[in-house]
Amino acid sequence: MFDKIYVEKELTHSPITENILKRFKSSEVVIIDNYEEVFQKVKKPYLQKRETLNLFVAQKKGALVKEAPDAYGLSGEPHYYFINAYNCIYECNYCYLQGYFHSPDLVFFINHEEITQAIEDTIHRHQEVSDKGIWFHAGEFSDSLALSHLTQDLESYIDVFKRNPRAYLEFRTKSANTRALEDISPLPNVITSFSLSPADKIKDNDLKTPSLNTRLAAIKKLRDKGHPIALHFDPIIYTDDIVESYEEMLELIIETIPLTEVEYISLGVVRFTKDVYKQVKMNYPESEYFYSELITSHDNKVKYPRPMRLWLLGKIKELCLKYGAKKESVYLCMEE
Amino acid sequence: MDLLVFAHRGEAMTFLKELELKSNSQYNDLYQNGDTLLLITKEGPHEVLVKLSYALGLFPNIKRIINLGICGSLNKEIELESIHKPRTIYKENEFKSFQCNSNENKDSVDLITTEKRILTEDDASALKNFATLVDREAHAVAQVAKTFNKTFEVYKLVSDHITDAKFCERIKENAQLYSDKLYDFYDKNIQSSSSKAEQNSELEILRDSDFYFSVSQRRIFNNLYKSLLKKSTINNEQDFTRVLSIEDIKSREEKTPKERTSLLINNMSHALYPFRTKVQDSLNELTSELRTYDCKFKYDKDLDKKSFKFEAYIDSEEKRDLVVRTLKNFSWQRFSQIMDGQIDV
Repeated sequence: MFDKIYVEKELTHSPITENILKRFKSSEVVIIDNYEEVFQKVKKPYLQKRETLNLFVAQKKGALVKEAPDAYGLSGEPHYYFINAYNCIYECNYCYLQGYFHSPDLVFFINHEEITQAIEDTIHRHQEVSDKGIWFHAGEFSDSLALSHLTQDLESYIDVFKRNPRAYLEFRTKSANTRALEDISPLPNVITSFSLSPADKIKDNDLKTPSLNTRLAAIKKLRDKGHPIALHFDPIIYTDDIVESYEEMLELIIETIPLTEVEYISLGVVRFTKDVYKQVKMNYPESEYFYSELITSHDNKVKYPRPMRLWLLGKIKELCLKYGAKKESVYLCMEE
Repeated sequence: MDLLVFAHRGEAMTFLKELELKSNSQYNDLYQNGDTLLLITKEGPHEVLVKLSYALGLFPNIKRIINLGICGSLNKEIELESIHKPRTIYKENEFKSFQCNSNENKDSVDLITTEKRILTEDDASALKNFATLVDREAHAVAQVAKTFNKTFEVYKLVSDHITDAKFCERIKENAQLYSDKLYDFYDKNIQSSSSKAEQNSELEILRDSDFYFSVSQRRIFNNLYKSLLKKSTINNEQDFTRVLSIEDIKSREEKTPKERTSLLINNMSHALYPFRTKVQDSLNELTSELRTYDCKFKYDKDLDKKSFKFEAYIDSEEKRDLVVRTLKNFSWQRFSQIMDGQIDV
């Protein structure tokens, strides 16, 4: 899986490092002082991840917790994300990571004690001035669960939220890798949000990810164990039969979990920054975006025209309500 | 890599647009898109020698230099606006001459490059001994190309027969036309075979006399056609004819070929952008009354801003009252609903 594994000198004896190296015996191991000596030093083409993918085991320095952009999650409460990894094993052709880092190589930040401390400090600071809840999201720069059996970090993050029931943790994922989570007792304030799209869209665009059915099976496993579940319908991509295809998907979802039991459903329409759009064009020139109705908007983002975005969001929200979702549980992600 | 060399921006304007060339950050007079570069040298051989050498220094991978532009004719029998590939290129008061590299389709006319503009019969008479066409750059282009060991080609459009007439103003006025014609020629005859393959010139409709495609219409057509092919509904020219109701368009005898092309392009846009078309149709329906009285109603072409511009020509009190009344009756609520996506799709 990994061509080379770069390990920061200080982390060579960490049990997490040892576990990773034990699993990938055939990868060449290189000891370095700091991952930034190598990672992003040259521009490595995104699709090179198909042939030579490297892994960095490193410590995250600087800001460990960051405020999330507006409309990132349910409104009315502050949202933050924390960084425990860079990059992803999947290859979604719309993913902004292809235009974000100058390398597709994976970085695992394993200084979890420092990161969890930063989360707890943020919770305490918030609770000194507010009675409202506070949200933390994992997976801004990576998939939260896809490699959790390697990173072995879920428990340490969940512990923070066991101690802080008014704070919420969201794992956002496209994976079906629920192994690590299944062994942990569920908490009402730790929510796993599965990104879902109609089966054919997953096949066309979420390259190398589990199918819709596999993701639904993962949802069922976690639900049966009592873990709170959220759904993330993003990116919504327009097709002539969009209503039928989302109805079909919702039928499958409610066979797995009634929407009344879903904590929340976030909706987002496909969108790109101009730089990411250029990268997508370079990496996936045949993808459907290039003959769709996307425009470059006045905010310099590439997205559908306003009436179309709002129609799509309205229509999918309507379908969610029709299939049993509570009105207050459906929100629009990253839309004004 | 090809480098297109022009003296004036006016000659290059269609190329800049059609080839989507963007200014190079290192050199303001140089434009680029992928493997195609375009250089504007300004008039005269001295400018060419300096600027072309600099461009070749910046881009050593240039393989072919193509000089395009207008020239004068010393022979009144040479047709105006005809395009020539000169056989030999001379220079005024210079011994050395150059032959174009390619032997294909070479004209039997020669060209001479001069240090100053040739505006009178007197100036022209001495040159007639050497060549039929006169320009200000080709020899310098050839000289630099030879020095850098590059292939070069020269194509010149005859803008005037050299007389005492003041033709400079006319050339300026016709710059767009000349640029269009040069681009058309370039597109059909010069572009590399690989990029030609991407064009759809083999489509029967492009040769159909019921339609006339201007340069920009052909560009739009090609882009739409390529996109439509990627949509599964259209797989070949038969599907294309059926889905876009081409036979119906052809039967519209009251329309000119150019208007039929507009209809065709419109149908292609509808097929490719069905949602946008529905929104536009709704907006057009809503504003039909406003547009009745010489008023202009403009909304964001990308349909992204919830606002519109309204322009009215008022030449009487009655007209003012009419416009005010109509505008007052205009339903902002419905406009707002459309822009918020509340339409039947």
